[in-house]
Amino acid sequence: MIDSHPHGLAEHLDLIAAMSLSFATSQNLDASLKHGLERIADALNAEAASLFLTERGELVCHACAGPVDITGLRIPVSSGIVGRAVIGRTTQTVFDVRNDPDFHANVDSKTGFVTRSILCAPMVVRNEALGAIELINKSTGDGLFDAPDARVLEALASAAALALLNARMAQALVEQERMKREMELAAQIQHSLLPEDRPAPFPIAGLGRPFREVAGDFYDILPLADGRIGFCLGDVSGKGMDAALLMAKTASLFRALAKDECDPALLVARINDELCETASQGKFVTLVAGFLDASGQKLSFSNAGHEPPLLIRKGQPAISLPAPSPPVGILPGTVYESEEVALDGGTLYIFTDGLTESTGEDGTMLGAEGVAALIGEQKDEAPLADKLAALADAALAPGRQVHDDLTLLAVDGHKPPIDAQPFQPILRLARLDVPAQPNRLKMVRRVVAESASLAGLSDEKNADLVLAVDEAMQNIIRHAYGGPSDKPVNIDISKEEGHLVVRMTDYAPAVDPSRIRPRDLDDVRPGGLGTHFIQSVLDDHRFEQPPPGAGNRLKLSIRIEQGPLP
Amino acid sequence: MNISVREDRGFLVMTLDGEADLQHTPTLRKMLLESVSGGKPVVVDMSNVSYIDSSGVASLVEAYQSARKKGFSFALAGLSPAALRVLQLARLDRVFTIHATLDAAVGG
Repeated sequence: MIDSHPHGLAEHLDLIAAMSLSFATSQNLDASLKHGLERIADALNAEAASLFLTERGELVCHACAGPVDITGLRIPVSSGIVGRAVIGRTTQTVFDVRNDPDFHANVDSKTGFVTRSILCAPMVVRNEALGAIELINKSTGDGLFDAPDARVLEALASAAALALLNARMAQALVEQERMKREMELAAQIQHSLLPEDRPAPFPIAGLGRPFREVAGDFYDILPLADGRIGFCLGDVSGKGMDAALLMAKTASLFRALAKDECDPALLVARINDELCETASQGKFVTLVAGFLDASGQKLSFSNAGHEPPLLIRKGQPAISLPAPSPPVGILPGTVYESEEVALDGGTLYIFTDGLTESTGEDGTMLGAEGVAALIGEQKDEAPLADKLAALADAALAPGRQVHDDLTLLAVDGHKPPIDAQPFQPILRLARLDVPAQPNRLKMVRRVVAESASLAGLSDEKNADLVLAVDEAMQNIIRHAYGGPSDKPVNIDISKEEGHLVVRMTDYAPAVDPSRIRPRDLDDVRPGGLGTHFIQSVLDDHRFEQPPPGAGNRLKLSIRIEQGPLP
Repeated sequence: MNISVREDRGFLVMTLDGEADLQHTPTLRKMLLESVSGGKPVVVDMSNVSYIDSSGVASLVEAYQSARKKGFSFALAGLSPAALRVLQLARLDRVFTIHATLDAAVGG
């Protein structure tokens, strides 16, 4: 390619190198294009130059050099001298534009610039024309571009094309990397939204197997202060980030609103109204939300456009519970309906279409009947979470195909809810009702210390228990009630199975126990210290189901080693 | 609880008497922070503190950090077994300078 002509390529090699570097490091491609074009125009003594790139069937001017700026001008690819260069992938040399029928004179007529001759080379790389560079009016010699000029421009245009392609690919990689990180982050956030697994006797279990990294499905299980358990399963239309964000929003709305709503239909209506206020691009959510009452046998739910849940009772045909209402996020003010179901020892299964639309070897969909059949094959006594896992495994068995997120939730009427048994201390030592005020701490400590002493707790353990109860009371005052309050704290002290047990009940909003964490001891700042004390000195501490009307009940236990009975 | 402050052999000695719990923490914290702003090394005499909780400990930590920033020493003296147990639970017994008695703190 390098020839001996004075206008030859050799003297432009450094221009090509500089242009490639400028493109590769550029944050602003159009600025690099303009700079490169100015240098090309200069090198070939052109009065003016413009650079067009193809964009969806059009040629768009991205850069200009010289007296006239037509940046942003769009022309059809099939038109003009530039179009000819791009479509034919050949360099166009026009000595006198007046003799060329494809010349558009309207730019000249608007600007007063007089175009005489044109040299236009396509920007070709890997057999694809990304655009073209057009030089106008040679300012030296006879004012006409010659064959050596054409060869130089061809080379420079190809170099520009390659540099542009590389820069675009680099940008795409950066974008891809950014998207990947975003998706990973979204997956993490989604995972943190899922409820924690609960121990086996818990009557509601859920399972989620995302098809892609980020799911459009979600479920939640929410034990409430009054003994009811809220549950929800939803499927967001569409996929990707938008769907994931809508899913996160719906899931948090359920969490926030379920706490003070008794009627599932009203709960779903509120979720719908909230979503509609900020609804995005026609996306919507199908969901089933409801409550299992404290008896563990009565269930109420509202179905917003979701797959009908199945009620399965032993030895009876499955009952499908269809959706009478539209999905949420479409029409504000939509009225939803509630359905009440007596479980009668049966189990309600809620699932997304990822399950019903999974296909077998012959391509037939599983369908609701297939789901019911799979459930019928299961062992009745298996733990609920295992049943759901078996159901998902069956849908994913070899030869079968799942095409979407698989999300399942089951409400089991076999067992009463956890901790629903009435609270019966074996030996009550004392009961104290005090307002949540710091000036009652001393009295609480005295009563606990006297009770512990009566129960035969050693002096060291007595002091530890007193510290733990004091710290728990402080947490109630500061965190549950948000500051000193005249609302009550009930303190029951009893002896149970070799332990001294203190139950502390407050009437504040329910606290999420997973958010109460001890501090890191390498950190000398205050905060979380009280919880650390409680964890360090006690044999056990846990939240129990509070009685109706109460907010939280904390059970603190310390083992009584030996000593005389009172 | 009662809190008193006096000077003794170049030290600012703060004497606490009673139970250092959440009820008294606001006062305790305020007086501790005033003491460490006095431009003298501080000794907190805790021989009459029968009980301390996390809020009391937090006040001591805050005062200790503030004194260190100003370049003055901050020590505790005469801790009861109960108070020492709480500092040990917080693993702060290795952070604070602790003297067996007030005399050991101001004479040493």
